[in-house]
Amino acid sequence: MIALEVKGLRKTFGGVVALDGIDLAVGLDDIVGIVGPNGSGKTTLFNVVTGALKPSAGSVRWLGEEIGGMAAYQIARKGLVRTFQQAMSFPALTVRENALIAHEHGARSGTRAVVPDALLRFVGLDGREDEIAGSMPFGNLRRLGLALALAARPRLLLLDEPAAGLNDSETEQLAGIIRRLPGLGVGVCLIDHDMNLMTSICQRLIVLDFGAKIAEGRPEDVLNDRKVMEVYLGAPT
Amino acid sequence: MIAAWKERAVLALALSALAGPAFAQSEGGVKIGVVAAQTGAFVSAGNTIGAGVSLAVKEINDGGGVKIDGKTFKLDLLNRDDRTDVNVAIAAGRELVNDDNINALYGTESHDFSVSMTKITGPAKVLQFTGNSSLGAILTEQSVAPGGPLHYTFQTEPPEFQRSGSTARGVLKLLGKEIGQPLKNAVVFVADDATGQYLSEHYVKALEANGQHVDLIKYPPSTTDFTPLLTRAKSLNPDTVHFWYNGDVTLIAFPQAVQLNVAKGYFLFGVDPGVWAERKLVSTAPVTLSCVPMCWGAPPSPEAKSYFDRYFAAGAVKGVQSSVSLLYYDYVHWYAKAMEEAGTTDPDKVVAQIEKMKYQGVVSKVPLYFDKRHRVTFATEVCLVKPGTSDKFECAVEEPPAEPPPGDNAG
Amino acid sequence: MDLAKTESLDLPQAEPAKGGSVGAPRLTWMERAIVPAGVFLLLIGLPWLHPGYRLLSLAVSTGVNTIALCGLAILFGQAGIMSVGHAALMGVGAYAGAILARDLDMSFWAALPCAALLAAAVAGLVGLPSLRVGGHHFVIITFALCGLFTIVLTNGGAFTGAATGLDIAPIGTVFGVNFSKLQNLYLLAAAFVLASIGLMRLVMTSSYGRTLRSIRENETLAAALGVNVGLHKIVAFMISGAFAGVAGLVQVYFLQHISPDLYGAFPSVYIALMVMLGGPRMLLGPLMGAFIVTFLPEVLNLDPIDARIAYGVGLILVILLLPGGVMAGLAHLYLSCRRCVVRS
Repeated sequence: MIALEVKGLRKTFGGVVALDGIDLAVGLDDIVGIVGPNGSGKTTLFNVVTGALKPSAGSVRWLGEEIGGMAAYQIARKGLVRTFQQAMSFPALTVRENALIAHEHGARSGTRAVVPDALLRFVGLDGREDEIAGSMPFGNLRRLGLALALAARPRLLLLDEPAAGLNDSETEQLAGIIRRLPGLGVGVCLIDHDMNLMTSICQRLIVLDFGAKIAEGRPEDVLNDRKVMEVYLGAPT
Repeated sequence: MIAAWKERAVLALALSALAGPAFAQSEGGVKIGVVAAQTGAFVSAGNTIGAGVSLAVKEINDGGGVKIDGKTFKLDLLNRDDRTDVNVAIAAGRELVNDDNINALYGTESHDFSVSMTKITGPAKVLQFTGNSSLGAILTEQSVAPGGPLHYTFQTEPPEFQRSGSTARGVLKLLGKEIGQPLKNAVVFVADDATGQYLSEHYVKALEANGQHVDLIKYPPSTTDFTPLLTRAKSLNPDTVHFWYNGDVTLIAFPQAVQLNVAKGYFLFGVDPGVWAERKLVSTAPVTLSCVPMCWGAPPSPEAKSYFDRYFAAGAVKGVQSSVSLLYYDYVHWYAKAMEEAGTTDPDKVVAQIEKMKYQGVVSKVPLYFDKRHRVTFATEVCLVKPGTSDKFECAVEEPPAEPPPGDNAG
Repeated sequence: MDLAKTESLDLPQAEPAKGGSVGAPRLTWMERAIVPAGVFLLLIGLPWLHPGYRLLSLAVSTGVNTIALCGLAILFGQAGIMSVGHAALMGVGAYAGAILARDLDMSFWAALPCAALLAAAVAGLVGLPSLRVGGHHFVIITFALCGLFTIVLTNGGAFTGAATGLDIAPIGTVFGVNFSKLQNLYLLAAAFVLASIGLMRLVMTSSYGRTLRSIRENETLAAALGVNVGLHKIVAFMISGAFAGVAGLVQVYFLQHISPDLYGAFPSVYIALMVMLGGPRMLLGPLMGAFIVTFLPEVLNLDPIDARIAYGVGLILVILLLPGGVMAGLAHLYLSCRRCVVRS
């Protein structure tokens, strides 16, 4: 069932075209990956879809409702939640307080609320509930970021480079968590550069270049597509 | 540990305050309090009150004290700095009135503080001698009647229409003579704050009553560069430019005006000829100065000269407002005389006595008296500085008009 | 999502945290209670210690400032929004009290909700357009508010008393208590101070306080997790305005005469200074800040110029060395002493 439907989405900054008519569809059971070179518009896409930026043209529909132009907090409350490239937290607050904020302000209706402590256990931060978030190492902050997004009771999670800065074993743990989410009722759409991760967990991969979609399909098909290889490796001689 | 530390400190503070005087009125003296800005923004006015009062107190005590009903009482002077802060002024007022049980309070010259102070002195039946613009509005016949909230309050300076009236007339006379042409257009510069607003209302009307067309320019009190405003003033073609309030700022603006050649003649309020001579100022254009009540740099009478000699000899600062001290000096002597004549220190009887008295002090050639609104009347001295000189003055004492000019509310 | 369906995931333990914790020092319940309890007892018992009228008068002034500072502590300490416009909001409360007494014969008690609501409304009006811009811009706008407020008052003619200001009669006797006696007026102010501190603590420990802190810590993240940042900022500003309005009302009945200078930019900067010196996130921070600024020049007999230099230096020291203000510094001092004692 299609939950997020993006049609012809454009975003321009002055003369610069960051998104050039993107079409996208994600279901609540999906794990969809978005890849592309730096500057291809991946984070901008997330920003526009989640309300951090306003679209210049096109439509974004969430569960049948047009949400283009809505405020970020409103979209989050409807169950469309994103994480950030940087490891974001509320630094001076404890881990538990961080989670409680997401728990209190996240989506109201639909899903059954999960106690924040259980979510912290789910991402592997149990025992650290009283630690100050700002004093935690990077890897734990990433876990916290994921826990916060989950605590906001999402139906679809947009993860922005969740594996950035993680080593192989941490990435493997992350993959394990992400794989379980659709089974728990949360769809996932993620951006990342780690191709191993993407091929191993994504059912479908979308490739962006200069703000436009240049390929979509199963990971092994997409990565062997000639156009995609040109974009990443340069034109064949 | 921290708790004990903190407790001890606060207790020490409380105890030290307790160590201050907290007893009932002593038999041995009449207590006089002064609250004034001895530090802070208003220090140029504040210093003068304490100095004038302490000179009078010293003279009275040296002469044996106040003789009431066969007994002699010395005057006790309690001097408090209000640091130009209303909270400190109120606290000082409370201290003097409620802790020290003074009989009379002199001060302040800062406008708000005086009014707030009357709320403390009134209920305690402490006489208050204070001079500032805000009082004019609240001193009414009802408020100063026995039982009224301001029955014990006396305004030490004349109603503003009188000061403005005598100043305007004196200034125009002296400048007209020196410039040699009839004067028609005037520009008045005033600070856009409480005192400025109040003063300018009356001075503008006084000038108009003397046949002038007046343009009023208000400047933010913190202005230091007057060139834009002076250029605007110049475009109005003034014969005279009048800088009203305050003396320190006036001396910044005035040279800028002369440089721009804004007018034929000037008036500087709040600058005493003494300050002009001390700083060796020179002007190519004729300048007039006025003093409340008399100029210490050009004292008009031997009594005034003698007072200022004694005043400065006692260590007082030669400031722009030093002449204000003369008022407070006279009022301390007046109070002492009123107690002697009434034969008691009882405030109701002393106030009744003051209301009846005409007191011959140094301030005025004719005896002073308080009108039905507890306001006093006396003349203003106006001086012309001969152009090109630092110390050649031509002065005149101008009596105030009896009636306010048209449009003036006699405040 | 339904975690009930999960088997427990065998994840290796996350890495241990490095270094010490940032934030408020950890004290036991007893330790936390004893200083505030002592201070509150002193606050209430002060008149019975025979402090003298001067001290009592300064104590009322301190109390007035503390009430407003509790509001500013909610806005700045919790939500992270600095305002240098709080003197103007106090002025709204003060002038409302004076005008309502003059024109509608309203007593202090009747004017109390009006002063609070009016000041909150002014804060809301100012906050609506200005809180969406960044913190630095907002500070400048609040600074301009004071200037504007002073101009409006000075040119308000007879309605606002113009530059001369307005008078007000004292509170008089209510339920047999004569508030013209300074001791009783002090106790009234002390009661308001205690109520303000209590309300502030209520906000700090509630989930609403946590929401404000999330805005302070990371506004973008807060919005992305569903916090209506814009609304909460305005409401926080309005709440702090209400505190200031009440402070202004108590002040006008204390001074019995007010004028525009009392509520200009300079007093506002002093209020911001007080909250930063005392400690914007500490329970006794507002009281400490007001206490320092009122009593330091008093105890050391400082010239106002020297006092301002002292405050400037103090502020720099606080920013560099004691970000939690003097109260946090005292708490840290106590903690290190306690550690020394425990070790020995």
